[in-house]
Amino acid sequence: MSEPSAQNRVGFVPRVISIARSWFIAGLKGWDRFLFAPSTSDTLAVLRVATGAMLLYSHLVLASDLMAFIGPDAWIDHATSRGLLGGTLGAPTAAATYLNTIESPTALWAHHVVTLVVTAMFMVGLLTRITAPLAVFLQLVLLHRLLGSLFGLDQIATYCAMYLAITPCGACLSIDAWIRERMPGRSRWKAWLFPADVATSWATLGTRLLQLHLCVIYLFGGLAKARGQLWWDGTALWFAVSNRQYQSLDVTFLAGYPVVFTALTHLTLFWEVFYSALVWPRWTRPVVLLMAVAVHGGIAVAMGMITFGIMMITANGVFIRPDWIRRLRRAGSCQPAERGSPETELEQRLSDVEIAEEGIRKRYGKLKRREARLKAKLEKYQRDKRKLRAMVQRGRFVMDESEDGSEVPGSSLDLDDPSEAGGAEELDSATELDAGPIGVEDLSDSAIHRDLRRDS
Amino acid sequence: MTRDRKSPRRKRPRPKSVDLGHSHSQPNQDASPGTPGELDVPGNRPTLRARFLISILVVGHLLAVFLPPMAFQTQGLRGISPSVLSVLRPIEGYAQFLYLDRGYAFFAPDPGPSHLLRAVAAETPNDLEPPTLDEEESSSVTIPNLESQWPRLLYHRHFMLSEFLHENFEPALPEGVEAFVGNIVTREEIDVLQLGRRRYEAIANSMRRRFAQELGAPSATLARVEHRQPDFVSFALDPISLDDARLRGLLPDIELPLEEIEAMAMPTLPQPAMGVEPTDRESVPVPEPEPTTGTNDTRGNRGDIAESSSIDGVGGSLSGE
Repeated sequence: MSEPSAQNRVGFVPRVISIARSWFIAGLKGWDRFLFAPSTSDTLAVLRVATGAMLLYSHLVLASDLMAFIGPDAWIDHATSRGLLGGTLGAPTAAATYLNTIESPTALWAHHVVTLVVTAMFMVGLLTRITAPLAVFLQLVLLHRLLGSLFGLDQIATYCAMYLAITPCGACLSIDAWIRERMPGRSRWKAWLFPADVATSWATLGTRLLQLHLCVIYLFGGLAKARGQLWWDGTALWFAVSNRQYQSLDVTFLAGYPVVFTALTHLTLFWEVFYSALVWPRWTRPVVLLMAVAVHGGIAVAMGMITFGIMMITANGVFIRPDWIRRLRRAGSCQPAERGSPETELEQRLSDVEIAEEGIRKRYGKLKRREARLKAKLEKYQRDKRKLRAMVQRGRFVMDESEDGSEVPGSSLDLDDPSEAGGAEELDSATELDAGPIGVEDLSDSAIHRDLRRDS
Repeated sequence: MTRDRKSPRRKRPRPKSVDLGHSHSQPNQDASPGTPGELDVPGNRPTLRARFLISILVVGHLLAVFLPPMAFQTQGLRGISPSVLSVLRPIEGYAQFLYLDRGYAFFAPDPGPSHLLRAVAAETPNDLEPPTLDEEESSSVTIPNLESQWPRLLYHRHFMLSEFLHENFEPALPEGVEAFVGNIVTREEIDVLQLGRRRYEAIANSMRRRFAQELGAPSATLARVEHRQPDFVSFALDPISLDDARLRGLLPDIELPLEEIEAMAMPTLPQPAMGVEPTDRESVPVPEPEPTTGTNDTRGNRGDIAESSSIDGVGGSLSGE
């Protein structure tokens, strides 16, 4: 076999570099499309309502025994809470909260009422741009104070609210949408406060972050289970449903059907481990999501964690396409021209275009006026040039006025007019306004004018 | 002569409508017609520079999402994996504040027994008589309690409190532990154990005071109760109530035995067994040496070569987080 030629060896490296470069660029484009391709907020709006409702319910339940959980003498009292979070009873953390410094029950109640109001506003979509991040902040402050009494519900509800806060989740199915349609006039701050029901990159970004976070949760949930013995020998499901403190529905009859509950155990383990891979392809996603409904529905019904089960099913809904929900909205509306219809959407989008181009319109008008002024000058120059050329061709140049007082060819030229001197440069700079460039030959025409004046 | 230069109007590429359930490798095939994403409205898509900055923040956030559970899983007797810890440290505070520092080990590695708290009223804080399992005991209360704690979410919060105390349990160190410092255990190891005990006592005392308020008594004593599940075979053969007293047991607050402290000096780090005949070894065929003639060749059969390894198991625990 002959040795590869030097030319081939040289070509191999650039080829590899070219492949790597195209792969890298394709990856960047894919990343950009994955995170920033605009999408509508329909799914996020439904998620907002469900998350807000769950947070509100959680805060209301807490209010039934508020001082027992966040009061100065709570189950974890203020001093212990500060020690646990501040580092005197363990490693210091950044999970800070000011609630463990408030001694007054009245102040704690006032804070909780504010939390309830803000959460309710977030749920119904009122001033969502403000109430969504505020609801997340108040939830975090409460979570850190509730150290010791938290579980999976608090995690998933917080994460859903956190990602919704960066999206225009109040663009539809909200009071904000109702206000936006009835608000006269347009301005930038109103457009921000009451976001339009159009596709945006922020909706996609929040959706993707929640989807990826769910994948991480299930991946590590599955891997953690894979380290145990009972999830492999199939008995984990039995020991979960036979736990008296969790039991809300007696399914202990499964003890007589080991084939069934061991199969369910293995299915749960593999579903959780492979969720992050199988939820993305079109053909496996419905199966994965149905499994999520089954698993979390089972947890909700049989293991007493109704809130956790509902919230996890809701979070999995982030994988539902927003246009499906939009079709349901249109099908549910009585009049075809109601909000959500194509005509209304087009109007809203045109309105947004007008708002965005307001500044550009001002500059456009200024440039148009300048264009008109320069065009007039150009026409004057061209007219004078034609006259001069005609005179040069005829071989004469007359400077006297005609008998009727009209200007003779050549006398209209004000060759020493300072305002004309910069005309060529101005015309050069107006090329983008269809004015056409003024080339070297025009400058030479000015030189001709000066020469003719000297000769005369 | 003027040149009518008209630069061709550059066409802005229209962004394609996005199917949020698909991976990015499957473009728009399933995008329904009329999806609003087809119109690139100015202001609805950040600029290229903004997208670049946002992408950096997104990567940082995703690290904060991924690394805490990764650190949880890579924690062993030597601590957390150094490669994971080195990347986690800079974003640890961010993850802690946003409540991202979770392990997501729900019912993992194995579903274990649940733990309750029982408290009985006491006259003075020095009254150390622990409560019994007798639910009829006067001036006593157990959490969680489905009968008195409703709705279910409130009951579950109390349940998590009892599990929290159990997870933080650290036995008290015996009086003679100082003698072991230096020759068996290090000062740092003792400090860690003592800090753990202080943490447990702080939480237990806080709960004890709360129990006293609930019982309307000057003080209270409390005890941890473990409620186990029956084995499914015995349950199938002889079903019993899940509230059967045989499934419950008090967990006494005893001191750490000195023997366990002595055992801390033994190597317990996971490593392959050395000098131990394995029981599941697989023999490796060794070729017969070629016969030699008149040489002092001392080569012989190398014998069987085998190796075995062991990995310390991880104890099971019931966890809601």
